[in-house]
Amino acid sequence: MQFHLNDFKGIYDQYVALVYTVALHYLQNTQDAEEITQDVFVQVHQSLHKFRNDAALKTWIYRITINKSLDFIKYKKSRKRFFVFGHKADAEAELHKIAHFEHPGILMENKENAEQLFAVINQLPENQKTAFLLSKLEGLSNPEIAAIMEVSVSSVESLVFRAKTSLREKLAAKFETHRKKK
Amino acid sequence: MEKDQFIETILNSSKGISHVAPSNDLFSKIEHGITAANVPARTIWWVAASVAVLVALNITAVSAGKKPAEDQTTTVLASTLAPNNQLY
Repeated sequence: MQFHLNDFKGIYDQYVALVYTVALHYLQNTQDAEEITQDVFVQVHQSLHKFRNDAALKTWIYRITINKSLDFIKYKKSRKRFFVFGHKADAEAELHKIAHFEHPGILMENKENAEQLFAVINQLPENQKTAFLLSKLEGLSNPEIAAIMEVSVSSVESLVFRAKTSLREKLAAKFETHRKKK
Repeated sequence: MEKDQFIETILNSSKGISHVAPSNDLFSKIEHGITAANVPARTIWWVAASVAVLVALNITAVSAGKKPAEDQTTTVLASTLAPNNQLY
């Protein structure tokens, strides 16, 4: 079944903000999030004919975005490791890009605190991170998250609980370090 | 107490987060990506075959070009020798 580009444009208009924002949750960099958005929609266009209606289009698009974002993080980490042995100027530029926090979806007054929050979210294991982001930042229900992650609802509950506990511990450690510095 | 307040403030900083749209030219980039990704496999094979033929022709031409040079050397050497096979 061949999809017309007009149908694709409709899907793009409907989901582009969702894809871009989820990519921003993972990468906190507008340039990288645009790259992910581009890759996601190219894959959506290529695989639209294979799409089975037993899974909602939104769930499928979420899944592609998450997988692409996680792959991108792995790729960047491997490049960061490579740059340690590479040219100094390139390494510095790369590290600066990673350290630079960008998330246009966050309220201006919360930006500084959100930067600290994302710094600890980035330390979570992949599945806890995904469950937390979808639950707290995207506001999805546990059954919706379970469908996206292809796990049971009870697993999602457990992942979100563990993510929250871990975040609290990491933030408590951060608070102690911050107080000692003062 | 102070610690709990710090943790809650940080955790609540994600409240009010909204979906944002990327730059307007992204769709044209995606269209370009789709066109690039849609190059038929047959075209790719034709290009690969053409390159292979071109490389083969070049190798043949280079090796054929070397032969006359060798022949020329042999001819010059032969012409310096006396035709009647006498050494002096």
